[in-house]
Amino acid sequence: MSFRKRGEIVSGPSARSLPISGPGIPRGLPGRAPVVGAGRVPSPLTATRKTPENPLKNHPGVRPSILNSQPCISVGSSDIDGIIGHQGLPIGSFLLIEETGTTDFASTISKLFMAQGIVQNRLNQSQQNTHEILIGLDQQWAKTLPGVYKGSKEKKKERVQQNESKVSVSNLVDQKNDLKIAWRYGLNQKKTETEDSSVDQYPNYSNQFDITSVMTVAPGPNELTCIPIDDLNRALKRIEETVMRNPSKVIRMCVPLFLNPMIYQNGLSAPEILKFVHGLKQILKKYPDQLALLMTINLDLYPRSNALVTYIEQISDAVLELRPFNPKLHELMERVYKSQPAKIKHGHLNIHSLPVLAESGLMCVQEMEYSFKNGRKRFEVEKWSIPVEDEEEKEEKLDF
Amino acid sequence: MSSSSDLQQQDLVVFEDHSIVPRSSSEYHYLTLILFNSATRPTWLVTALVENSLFGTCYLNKSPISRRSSTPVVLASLNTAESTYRKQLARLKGDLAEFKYVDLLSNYSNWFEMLSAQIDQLAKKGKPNVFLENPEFLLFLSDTKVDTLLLQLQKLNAKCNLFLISSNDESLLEYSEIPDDLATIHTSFLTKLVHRSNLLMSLRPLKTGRAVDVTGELTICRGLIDSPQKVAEKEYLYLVNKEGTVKLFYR
Repeated sequence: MSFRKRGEIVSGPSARSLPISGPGIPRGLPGRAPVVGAGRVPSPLTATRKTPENPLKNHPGVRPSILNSQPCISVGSSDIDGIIGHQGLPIGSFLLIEETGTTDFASTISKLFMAQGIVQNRLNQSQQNTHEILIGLDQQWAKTLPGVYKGSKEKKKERVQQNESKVSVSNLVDQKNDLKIAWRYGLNQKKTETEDSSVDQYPNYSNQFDITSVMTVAPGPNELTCIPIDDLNRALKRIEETVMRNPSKVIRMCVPLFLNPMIYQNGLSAPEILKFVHGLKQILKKYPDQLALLMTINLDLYPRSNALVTYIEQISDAVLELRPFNPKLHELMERVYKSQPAKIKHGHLNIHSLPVLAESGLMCVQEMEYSFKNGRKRFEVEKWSIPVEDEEEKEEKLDF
Repeated sequence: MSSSSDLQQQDLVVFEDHSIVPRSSSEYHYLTLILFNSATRPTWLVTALVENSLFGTCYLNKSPISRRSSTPVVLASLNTAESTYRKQLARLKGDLAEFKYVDLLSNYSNWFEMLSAQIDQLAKKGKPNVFLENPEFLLFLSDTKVDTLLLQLQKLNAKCNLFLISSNDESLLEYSEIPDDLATIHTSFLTKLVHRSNLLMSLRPLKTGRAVDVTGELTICRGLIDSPQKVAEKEYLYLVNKEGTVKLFYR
């Protein structure tokens, strides 16, 4: 009996559907030729739709879901990818990120989501594979996208390479010595294939970013289209036009700070807002092999008890909530983890629904079970555990 | 060998005569209201009802069904893509020729005409069972008023058994003095629907929070309009797992 890794692409004529007693989580996305999942059933809806070139074919930023082999893209944080359940956001899905409080962690996730696409798009200069649509904000916001994280080793290497590239007498002498040493220790030999096999199957799927840095070359109009929201109906038309102009690319669509009065007109009525969100979903489902949407909304402005937010949640495929800790809990964490500042978290991450799973009827609500930390190089998500104060230390202090 | 959870597993029964969907009759048309919460979506239940209408079987049940029937089905949704239901139904062994999907997610402007045309077309083979998901969206996406929408639904119900699938989250059930308030409109729509329905099926998560072995509760109760077929009022606990199996247990 042989076992196959769940994340591996299952293909070929021998691939058979799994014996499942009832209709459950659909496995595999129809109309997708190369990335085929087990038990995939062709649907007449998408099978007839022909795209000029499959955008998912050999895309470095696409991998199959570990649950149903549906193609997924990284949100920008590997931890959030894991939380979503598929190891990424399934293409054709709508992820809503809600945030309470005056913090703006959701914008960090939006930027990571967009930066991921830009980096993947620049992997092969001759053939662009990703396009981005930014709704409501302009190029100025896009200029603040974070740059790829470089570890200290990589930075040192870069510095050495820069120095070596300069023409100087010492460099010329060193080059000769290097060659001798390299010959002696066999360093110039080409790396063996065994080393290649250890490389991750999807090396460019989820790049790490340094949020304190800025992408050195800001995304241009050929990579990112900014769509103003002065007229919501016109915005929807422009979004669709942009999608049609990029038929062979994966498109990451982002709506940061949705309904924030700084960006959106105050006069928008609830039906107008719902029509716009429903319109976004229409476009998303019209191009299910190409588009993914991330939207962020502040719950202080529009709480979850508001019917409008409930409707938006119903229209979306996945809902995550960022709830920063209250000051007392934050103080406690700072006190408890005085010597281990890395353990201090910033808030709870609540799950309200997950793509495909919630749609199938699974109850995905998980509140106060995860915590998040917005680190310099990672947006970390971990299982939440209540910090415990060391009583001995406290007593000692009292005695003193 | 069956496990203890298998032994407790129950079959879905909606009416006292052990049937699941109401019998098709030229004289009487049922209005069924399926209510759900955002955390407990009803796709699995709708699939079971569609299967029972089309083939007389039900994938939730272990015991075979004695009465085999075949009623054409029209399914329309304003929120779920066709591919979702197609994928679910493709797992059922059977010919889906008598299953028609009306895509209201992409185009809802002529929803009434589209549904009516589909019902009339299928009526030659027998009175269809029509499932309409999230009809309340029409109140906000188009300029339809609650009473107009109810009247249109009543017209459809005159031709077929109608299953309306609507959400009843707490935040949507609140009256206020503002007439244009979303929650007020939604509550008014649902209340009026309840007063016209023969059967209510409700899905909601456990009040005690998330559990590993239970997804939620399914409540079956009769509506405010009496019907020829008597409803077997029951409460089930149900479990939907990642593998796609669904199990029902008595509450």
